[in-house]
Amino acid sequence: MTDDFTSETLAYLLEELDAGRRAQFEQRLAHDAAAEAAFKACADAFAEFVLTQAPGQPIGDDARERMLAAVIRATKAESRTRRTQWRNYFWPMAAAALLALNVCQWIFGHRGPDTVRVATMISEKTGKGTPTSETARTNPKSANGIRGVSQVLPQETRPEVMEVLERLSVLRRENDHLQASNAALSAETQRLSQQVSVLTAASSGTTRLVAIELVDAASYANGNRNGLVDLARTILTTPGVVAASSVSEPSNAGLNLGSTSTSNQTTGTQTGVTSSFGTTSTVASAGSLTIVDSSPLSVAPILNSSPTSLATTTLSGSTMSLTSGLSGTTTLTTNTSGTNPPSTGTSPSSAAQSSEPYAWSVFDQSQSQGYLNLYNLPTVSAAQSLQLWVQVVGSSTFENVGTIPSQYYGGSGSVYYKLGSQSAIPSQILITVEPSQAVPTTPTGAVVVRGP
Amino acid sequence: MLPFDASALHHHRRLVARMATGEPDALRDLYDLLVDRIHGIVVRILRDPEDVQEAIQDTFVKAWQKAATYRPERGEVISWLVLIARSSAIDRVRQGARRQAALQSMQTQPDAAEAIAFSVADGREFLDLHLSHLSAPQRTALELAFFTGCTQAEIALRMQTPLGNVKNHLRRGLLKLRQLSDRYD
Repeated sequence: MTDDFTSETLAYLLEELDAGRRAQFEQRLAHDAAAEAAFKACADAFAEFVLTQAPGQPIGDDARERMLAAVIRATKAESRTRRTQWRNYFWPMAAAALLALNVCQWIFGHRGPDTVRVATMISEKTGKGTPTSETARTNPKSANGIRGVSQVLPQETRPEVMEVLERLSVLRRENDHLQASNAALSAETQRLSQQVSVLTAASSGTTRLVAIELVDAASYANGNRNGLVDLARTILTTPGVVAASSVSEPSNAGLNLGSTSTSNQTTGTQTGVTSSFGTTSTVASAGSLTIVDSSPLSVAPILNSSPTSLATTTLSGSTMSLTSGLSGTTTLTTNTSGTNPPSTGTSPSSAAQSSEPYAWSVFDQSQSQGYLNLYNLPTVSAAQSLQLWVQVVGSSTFENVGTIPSQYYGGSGSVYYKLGSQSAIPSQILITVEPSQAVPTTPTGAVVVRGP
Repeated sequence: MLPFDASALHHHRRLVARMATGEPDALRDLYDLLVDRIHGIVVRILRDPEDVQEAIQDTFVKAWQKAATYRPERGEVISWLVLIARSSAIDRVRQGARRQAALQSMQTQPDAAEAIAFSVADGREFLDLHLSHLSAPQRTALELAFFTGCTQAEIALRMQTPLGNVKNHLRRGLLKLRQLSDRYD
């Protein structure tokens, strides 16, 4: 036995080793029989020394018995603690299991007996306790059922468990009542929604809503959309139906929700553009453009004005296909619909995060009117302007609808555009940078945004 | 040699084995057999009678709790119990300010160990043996280490000797104890 081992043995016996060295020493003893034997010799020799230096001293009978009683009490308490630890877990687990079973029953619609039945099954399975009566099984809320459960429970935990079961029973009844109320309310809501949708659509003459989202190439590639669906949710009461806040020119077209019709050719003629700010264009146009709101939207600064690609979002529950026969000539008009546009003060959350130029448009065929929200438009020189071009269904060429108001350059804004033809439906929208004074008849400049 | 014959030691081991299976009677028997020994040790470490009683109770409760971990290959039951008793008592010393008092006591009674030892008949033979083979510093160092819970540095301070010497005294003292035990066996 080396000196080091002796020193370490003593340190171990006196509990002077730190946890790491102690574990190391114990590991050595576990793997080295000779070391373990040497350790035993040292331990016994040291104990012998201690017993010799501090020989036994008799304890009085009273103290002896008192201490023994305390020891036995402590060991019993310790044993109880061990059992309690298990019990502490058992009842919460049992309660959780009962709850889970009830939730399953609710979810899957099984109207089987509730927790009492489960408890009964447990008692039957374990063979403990008095089996509950048939009444208790079939009518778990009965007092017999509760009593049946209580008979299988340990005396000390019975009140607690019974309280939980009673509470579960009450919750179950409340849940049944709420579910019934909820079903009735849902049915009523559904009925009223249908009614409102039909009335709204009939009064505004709306037959179909076309939504176009214009994004830059990078956003398109990444699959980024800028919240058109969010917008759609704010203006639709039900898929495909515009909730107009005011009624204008009720259409005789009637309701044609959900139907799909073919598209026809539209021919545009040269028209001007008018905005509520009096901005007038003298270029050829297929419709009109009207500023909706002069206050710029709160959006991120423009970082990239190079546009290209497009994306389309179809309104929830509605078809994206374009409807009605398209023919006739577009005319220059100002916005006269009186239909309030969707709120522009609150842009979609996702839109606010983008710094790319983009736009979205909703087109109301009944009004031949499109609503265009523009975000992050680039700035252009004084000699240039941003021109809005629309290609209608059936046409292969873009027609100018008007000039984007200059106050939106370098920022954001909303405009109405109106096509000359009552039946024209836009299939693509384009915004390009063109000369201010001599706007070409077809888009030639750099594309800012483009939609399908 | 431990002050117990082989059959007694074997009986102790069986009692602990029964304790490990949860037999309270085994604990009761072990208590009856060894409580006086444990009392002697604890009294040597602690002065307060209440502390003594608590330490003894704590010793047997711990023995009950640790019975399953007892390994006879690493020492007899009495050795195991002595160390548990020492740990329980030292814990109490360390918990309060009584540690200083214990040191004070050692200072005022430098030969307390001898005085106690001579008063007990059944330890006399072993004590003589130890006294004749252990040097005074070795014995003092071992006593301080066991009965006061002093660290080796504190023992060095108490004995006014370098720490290296204390380590040496402890190591050589333990080796001599072992040699004596072997020889006596």
